[in-house]
Amino acid sequence: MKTFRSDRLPRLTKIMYDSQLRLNTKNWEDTLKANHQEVERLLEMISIFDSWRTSLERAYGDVARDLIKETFMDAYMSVHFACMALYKQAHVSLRTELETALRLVYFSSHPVEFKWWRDDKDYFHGRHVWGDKFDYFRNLEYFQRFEQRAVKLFETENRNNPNNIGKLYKILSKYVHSGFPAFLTTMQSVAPVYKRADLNLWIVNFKEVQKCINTILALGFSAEFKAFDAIVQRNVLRVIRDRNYKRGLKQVLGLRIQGRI
Amino acid sequence: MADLDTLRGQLIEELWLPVVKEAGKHFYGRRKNKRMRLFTLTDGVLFGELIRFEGEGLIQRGDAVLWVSNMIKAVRAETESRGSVYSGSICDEEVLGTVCPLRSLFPCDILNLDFSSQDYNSNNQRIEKEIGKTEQFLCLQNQKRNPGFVVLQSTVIDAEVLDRDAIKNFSDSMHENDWGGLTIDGFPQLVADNGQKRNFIKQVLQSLGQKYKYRALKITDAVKIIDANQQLISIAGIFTR
Repeated sequence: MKTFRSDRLPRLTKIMYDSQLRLNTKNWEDTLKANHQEVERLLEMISIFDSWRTSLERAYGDVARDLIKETFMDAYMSVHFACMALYKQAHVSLRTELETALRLVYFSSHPVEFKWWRDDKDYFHGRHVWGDKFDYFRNLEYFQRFEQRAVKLFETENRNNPNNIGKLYKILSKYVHSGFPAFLTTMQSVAPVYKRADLNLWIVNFKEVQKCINTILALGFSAEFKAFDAIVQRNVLRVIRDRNYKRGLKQVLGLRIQGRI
Repeated sequence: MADLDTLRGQLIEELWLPVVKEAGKHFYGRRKNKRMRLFTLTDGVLFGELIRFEGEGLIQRGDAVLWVSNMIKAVRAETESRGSVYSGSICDEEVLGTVCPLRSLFPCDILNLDFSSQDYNSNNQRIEKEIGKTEQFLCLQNQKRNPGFVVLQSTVIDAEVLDRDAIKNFSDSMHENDWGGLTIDGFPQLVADNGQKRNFIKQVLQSLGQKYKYRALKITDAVKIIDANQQLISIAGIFTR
């Protein structure tokens, strides 16, 4: 078939093609009817990756060129899936976004390992650079200081310390491993449809992931973050939102940003 | 307040298209499909120049190099063009650096340097930086031995004054043999009047062409009023050896 014609598709393919087209349109419309302003805010949040990209590409070349774009795209696709009511896939994209950001920090100072990883050598096993309970990151100077002065970023057990990277990673992993509450289907239906409660849960997790990733980048690339002009620094802190995180970053990095953010 | 997209659409019809057509005739004679290579700072939403230039047989979409201000627009641009799409802050891009992805895509026949289509974080010396970037593009054209091309330089001017010496100093920092410096001494140190700013940018563009051994076959401009304080200006030049 040189020119695409849906009426010439084989039977099952045609049924799936037609139903997905209808579902996509309906779910996008149902989601945006009630939530277009929220979706716009989320897209504004991930626009911060343009600033990171310009700065990090200059400093780290290929590592940043490959991984920042991918981090952004994971976030973008997460929004896309959520608007299509594919909440499980939207969460899976959030976990890959978080992982790509962690890899970016690691590979920025490990060019040989980056090349191995890009060439798909079987070098990394299990949980990759965030293995052993994020041990690598816990030993980086600014992460250590941030954990001492502000928030335990990687702890997974402490109930008094919600919304950190360790706990978020656990939550997102349930979607990757298809834990029961993260199922796509319900007792009543197989087709994904817009559900306000599921969307709201995803929005909360989406914001938390952007908070964690921008914190990871600010601590992992402290020199570049400090070299941003004040407007961009403010934009990053606005994405982070959490008062304890912002205060911690200001202290650890010695930021001199005037006024409330 | 007039809509920037509407004003840009008027510029395309009244200035960009006639000048590019004239350049096409000059560089490619009566060849029906000119297939000029376009580099464009584009808005990432309407792609007016891409659509119109292609419609007139001046470019082929697949050959065009598009630059948009952010990755969300880049995704959109990739749905519009089979050509090359790049994104980021153009004023922060090291156009002459060896790792710049644009290097291998130059030279181009049409440089649409529409800075008004790009987002920016700060208005601080914005136009001075844009002019500096224009010089880098002209330098790149020269390095790639392009014998002739069109430049369309557009920007929004407002109440901010232009710093003549900042522009001169930046240009002087880019050394070129047998070049005595930009001929802009007839303008005050701080250019404040909007009409004078337009003439100043036009003069700088002409002078930059000379710096890189290009002769301006034609240089013309247009202005569109956005509101009482802001104007969208565009300067179009055909440069040749």
